[in-house]
Amino acid sequence: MKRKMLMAANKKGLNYYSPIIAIMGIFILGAILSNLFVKQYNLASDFDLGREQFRILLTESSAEKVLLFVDNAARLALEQAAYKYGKNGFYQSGTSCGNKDGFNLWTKEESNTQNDCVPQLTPCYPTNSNMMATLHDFFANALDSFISGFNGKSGLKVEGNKVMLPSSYDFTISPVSGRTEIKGMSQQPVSLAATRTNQLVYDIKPNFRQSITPDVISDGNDVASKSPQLLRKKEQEISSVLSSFNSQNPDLKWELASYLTPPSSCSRVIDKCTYKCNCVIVEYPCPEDNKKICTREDCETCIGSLVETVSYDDVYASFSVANGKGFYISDPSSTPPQLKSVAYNFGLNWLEETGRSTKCEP
Amino acid sequence: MKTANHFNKSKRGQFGFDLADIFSYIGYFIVVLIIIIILNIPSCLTGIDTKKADSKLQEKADSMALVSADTQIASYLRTQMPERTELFAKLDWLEQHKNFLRTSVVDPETGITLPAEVKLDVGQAKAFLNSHPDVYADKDYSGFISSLQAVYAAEKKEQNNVKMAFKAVTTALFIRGFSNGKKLDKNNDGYTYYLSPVSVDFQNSNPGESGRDSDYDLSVEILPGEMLPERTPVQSIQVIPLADLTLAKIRLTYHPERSSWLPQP
Repeated sequence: MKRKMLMAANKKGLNYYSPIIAIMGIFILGAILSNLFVKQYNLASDFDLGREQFRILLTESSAEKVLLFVDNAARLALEQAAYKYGKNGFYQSGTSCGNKDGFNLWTKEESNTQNDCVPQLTPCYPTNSNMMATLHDFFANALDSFISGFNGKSGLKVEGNKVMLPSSYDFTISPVSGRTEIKGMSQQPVSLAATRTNQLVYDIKPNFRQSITPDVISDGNDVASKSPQLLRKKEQEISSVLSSFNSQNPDLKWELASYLTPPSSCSRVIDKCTYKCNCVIVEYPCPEDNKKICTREDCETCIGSLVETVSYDDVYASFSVANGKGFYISDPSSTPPQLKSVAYNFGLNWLEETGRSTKCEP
Repeated sequence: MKTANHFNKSKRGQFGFDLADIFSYIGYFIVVLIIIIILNIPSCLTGIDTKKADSKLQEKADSMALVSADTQIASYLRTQMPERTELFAKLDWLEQHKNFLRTSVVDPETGITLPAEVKLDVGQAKAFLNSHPDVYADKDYSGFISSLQAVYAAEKKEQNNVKMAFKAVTTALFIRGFSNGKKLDKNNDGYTYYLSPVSVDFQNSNPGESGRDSDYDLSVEILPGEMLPERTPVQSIQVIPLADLTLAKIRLTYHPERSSWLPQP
């Protein structure tokens, strides 16, 4: 039966099978080729060969711009941090010893009645960890300002999306001979959408490593270690000590910025005492001449307190140690940058006794 | 007869086909395919818009040129400034070869390229650098630019000196020359020198937008007339931070055709 169907022919012997197959084949092939042609036509008319590849290359260029900005921002931030670090005497804000005329004090000596007028010296010398923390904090604040500026004003866009820098970094201050080096590892990547037609995203971490001269941490340790030698010195003695410092290390130039000696005193009761009190003037005839009237003062004896007053010179000596390096700093940030020398400023305070006195007081 | 027919029929395959049928079908399809292809060729020829294709190729060339420009400006900005001795030696070379430098401008009204004078006072630049060594010491080229901004903004009387220092230093660092094979005389030392236009804007509050030349505070270019291309060059813009928390825009104008016919290393 099958064979009969397959071999079917009309009565005149014509075979319909082949033309039917051919016509069906024409339609099928035509459909396939038309579909291919339509796709080729779109490709040909747009001729957008390499569109996606170029977008990737341009995205990589944008990423390079971001990295260059971060490197420059890190360098400027490090310069600003080094300047402020030195200006503030290696402390981010004031010390527990206080501040005098803009110089953070590294020693403070006080004498008061609570201590029986015995001078008490409070040391506030910075340690290495203080210095590292101070430099780190100043740097982080400065870098954050630059990044905020970029995010607000740069206008850098990739595929219509604004590029935003992350502000969270892990910083490491590394010891390098003669230089201050800082490394920043970004905690978040900058994601740049490479193309519009697929979900490809180019992630980069804007890490950096920047360094400047000099090594402000080593300089700080040097200054902090030598500063106790300046305590309790007269002004002329200080000059000779500073000269010896300058000859020991020519890279650091020590200067006495100011030497102030406002008076101070402390009083305390040390004993009981007697003193004349309730005095009255008494008139009486003079022994030599009864006709004349003489006077005398009759006083009672009262018990009082013997007060000792110790006088001091409350010495404030301010020092500035320059390393000969200058940076263009905007201080405050709204003013045009000026060339500022990096100097390590600090002050010392102590009391020099100038005299003692006692007085019996009611 | 019946026997012959029967014999012919018996040669057919199980489903009624034989090899002759199969090959005839294949032949039909091939002929059909050829006909359809022939019919489509005219459509293929008329389907490609050559102008569109040209513009797309141009776009790709511009994209490639922009990538090259971005790379070039990045390499400029990361170039470490030489120390004083080397920098001044380069400036001295520039002073000696100043007469061989040629540039040009395009007349905006006529569109004709005219030769222009290279205004370069190396002595003025050196005097400025001597009095402001901190603008270039221990810095790269981008740091040099940001330091110049500090002087430019703070000292009005120094602005001309800053402009000249920028021109001289940029030229000394990045000028390139190639052998031109021309006769040597007082105006030609056998080399054609060029420098891609570099411009710096300190005052634009939105550095992401492209600016006009008049908006740029510092600029330098050395482009002899024969190097100006017919097509519009591409521009690459890089933003750098400044010490007062503003931004500076640095623009490099790149001529891809000029680079393509320069002698390759």
